Amino acid sequence: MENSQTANLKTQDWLTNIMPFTGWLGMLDNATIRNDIFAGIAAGILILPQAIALATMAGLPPEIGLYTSIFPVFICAFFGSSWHVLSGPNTSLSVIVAMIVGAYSSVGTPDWIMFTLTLTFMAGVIQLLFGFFKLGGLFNYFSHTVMVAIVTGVGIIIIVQQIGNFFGLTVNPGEPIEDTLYTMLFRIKDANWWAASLGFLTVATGILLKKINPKLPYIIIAVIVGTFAGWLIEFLFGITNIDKLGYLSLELLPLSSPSFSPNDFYEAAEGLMMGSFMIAFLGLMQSAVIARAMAVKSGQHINIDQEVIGQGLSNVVGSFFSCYPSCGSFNRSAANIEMGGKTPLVGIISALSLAALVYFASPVIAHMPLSVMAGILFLVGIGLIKIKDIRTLLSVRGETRIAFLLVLFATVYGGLEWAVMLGIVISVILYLRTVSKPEVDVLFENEADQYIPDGIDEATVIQLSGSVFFGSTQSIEIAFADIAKEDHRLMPLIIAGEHIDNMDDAGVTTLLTEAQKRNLAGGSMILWLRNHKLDAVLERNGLIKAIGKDNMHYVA
Amino acid sequence: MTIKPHHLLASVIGLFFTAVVSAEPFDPLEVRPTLVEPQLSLPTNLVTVPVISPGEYFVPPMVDDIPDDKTGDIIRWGRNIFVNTQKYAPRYAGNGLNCVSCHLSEGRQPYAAPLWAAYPLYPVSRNKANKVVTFQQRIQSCFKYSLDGIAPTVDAPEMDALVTYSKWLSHGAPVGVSLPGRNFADIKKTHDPDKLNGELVYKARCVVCHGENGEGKKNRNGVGYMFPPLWGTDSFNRGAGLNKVKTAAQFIKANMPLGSGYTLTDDESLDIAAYMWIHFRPDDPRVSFFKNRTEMKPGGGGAR
Repeated sequence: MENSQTANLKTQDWLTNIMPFTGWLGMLDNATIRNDIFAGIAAGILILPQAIALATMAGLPPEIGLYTSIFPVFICAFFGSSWHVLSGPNTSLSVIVAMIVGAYSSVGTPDWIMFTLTLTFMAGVIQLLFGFFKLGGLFNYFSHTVMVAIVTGVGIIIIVQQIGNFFGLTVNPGEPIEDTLYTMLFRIKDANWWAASLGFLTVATGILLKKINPKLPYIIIAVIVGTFAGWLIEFLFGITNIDKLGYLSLELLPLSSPSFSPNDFYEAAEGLMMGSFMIAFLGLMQSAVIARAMAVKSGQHINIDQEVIGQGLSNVVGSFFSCYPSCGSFNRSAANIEMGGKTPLVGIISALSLAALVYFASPVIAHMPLSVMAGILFLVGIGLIKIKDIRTLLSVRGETRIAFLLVLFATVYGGLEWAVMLGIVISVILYLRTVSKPEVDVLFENEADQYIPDGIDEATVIQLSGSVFFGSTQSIEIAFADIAKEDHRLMPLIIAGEHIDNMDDAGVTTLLTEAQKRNLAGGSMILWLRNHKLDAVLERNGLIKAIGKDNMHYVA
Repeated sequence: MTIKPHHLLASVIGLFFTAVVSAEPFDPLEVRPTLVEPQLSLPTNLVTVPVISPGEYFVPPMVDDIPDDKTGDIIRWGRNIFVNTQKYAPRYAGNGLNCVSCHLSEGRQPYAAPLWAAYPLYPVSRNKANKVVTFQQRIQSCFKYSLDGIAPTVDAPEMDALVTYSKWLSHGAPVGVSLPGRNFADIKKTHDPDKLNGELVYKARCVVCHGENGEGKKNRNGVGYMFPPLWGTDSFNRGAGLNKVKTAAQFIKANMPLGSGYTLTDDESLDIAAYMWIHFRPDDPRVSFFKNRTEMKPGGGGAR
């Protein structure tokens, strides 16, 4: 009886691992379904302007942005872990795709699309590997500071990139931002003021609405206002030379495939390899952050590895359905929770309603002025630059501030892919800096007495906690040297180490050296550990022999 | 006239002589081998170029000559957009036409606004805009008026492709020279265009392809036009060049009926153009909705 129950449980476990959607399918009752359908329709409408704008920013036809907000959302709904994260095109990923593919083809050409698809596929495979090897936890270590810096940099890049569209001018692509701004000073007189006023109208509407009621879908309303104003101007005054979006045509199954044929892949292999890694990393980082944030809001337990697999799968499958790299989208997911979405059914409905919207409203969407689109991207960019966060980060003296400014500078001037690399390195450095300072406390009186074995009158007692590994040996050595100045290594040194998490060979060697020095000087070393877990490594390095078996004590 | 061997010999010697003597590095009137070879690149095997005198028109390179590199890829893409705008640039086309609906033979046909004659002339000052327009801006006008759609931005990838294709078609053409075959054929009228006579001629000569109501003929699969619609919502709008009776007549004279250009007289061409002009077509986007309703439709040219 019990056996069959555990077997049953195991099958269920296995089932939820392979098909995570079995977890929420049972939750669907009439009320939830109705609720989620409404939330889904809202989410589908919400993504439309961003999908178009972001795809354009990645140098891709707008249709690809729409496909990216349809197919990956499906896959993530079924195979992701979070029930609230909606994925889709992402600002940072769009910028980085354009930067990577830009090195190998001219913007928007069939080659460009092919390279993007290959990139999507490769990034997806890397993400899947992260998921299968259960490395999802890795992304928890990515420094928050670095993330804020990258996102802020992307916000600045977007705004500067869109200035041209905003004023109805053509700007030179790929210039440093101060050059773009400087040339704008002289070209502003040639601006198409019809277009620019529509852009201003869009931004003003968006900002005002956000001030009045932050819960309103301000981007959508701003787009509608801007597009309608554009149509009205043409209706009343005739030609205004405003650049417009154009007719979108979605296919039911936009089949595509990544290409690894030597002809296509050879010249770009190196850049795409590195680029796909950056994209995989950047995508997962954001997805992980979003999934965690949503879990905090909803209280759902997130399996981060499952989420990583969902993201990877959606990119792999996406590359066969004309999608470019996608990841969890913060504003969509937050809006989803605010609108009371409960299950991933929201994602499925949002994909369907987006497709329906584009199919039926294409002639209207076609007349969306590009300056209105630039206005939306301004709003998105402004949203990415979170002044409050930045002020807090900058007010903290020391490494956080330096890391923030460094990564921000790298994002804006060096290109996003380098900023991500730098960000990874800086995260590792920041992490190591915290863990490489194991706490060394000198204990006195009562606290010390409990560690002093019988028969010893005087001893120096220190408490060592954290990781004793190659990264932390230096600070431990310094602590030992400082103590030696006091007691001249004549007294026994008692190390209270029940809070030592782990030791590696280098760490043990440090202790060994100190023990040998004490033995020579006439002192000794006594080591307290929590349990016998670390015995093997101590034995291997000869520490137990050096301090004597009697001097080893165990708390448990 | 029958060609006798000594005529040929004389002309060859004459051409050789001019080529050697003339100080000009390039002679557009030079007879080149591709001219006498059958033009495999034409979509139909109809003889569409009435060769009035051999060597009069510039001969663009053949499709097989497209280079096999990145530039070639863009040229091929541009050609695809040009030939099948509905499929390769649906984002910008507002009606059922393709570029090739007017720029016949993939933009090669003399007197059907060939690209090789236009590209080397731009940027140029145009009356329509009252300022110097670049080739890209000229293409934008095509999209706005003739395709009744939404113009791609001057830096759009599709625009780059079309410009690259045009540049390739003009390979070897002299820059800034108004080549023979440019734009449309000259036309002289003896009376004002008469739409009633135009209807008669239309019924006799054009209906076969363009239909009783100018609706054109769709492809067998129902997607896209084999013969373009001449008026109605799927045709060019009131701002297009062919909306002008004179321009349309010039086009008709040299190119219509397809494959039998120059078979209609100048007056017949003008009459047909007038008959086309009186029918409904989309509004001129240059002026407001109300002006379109209240003012005289542009381009009538004294049609009766």
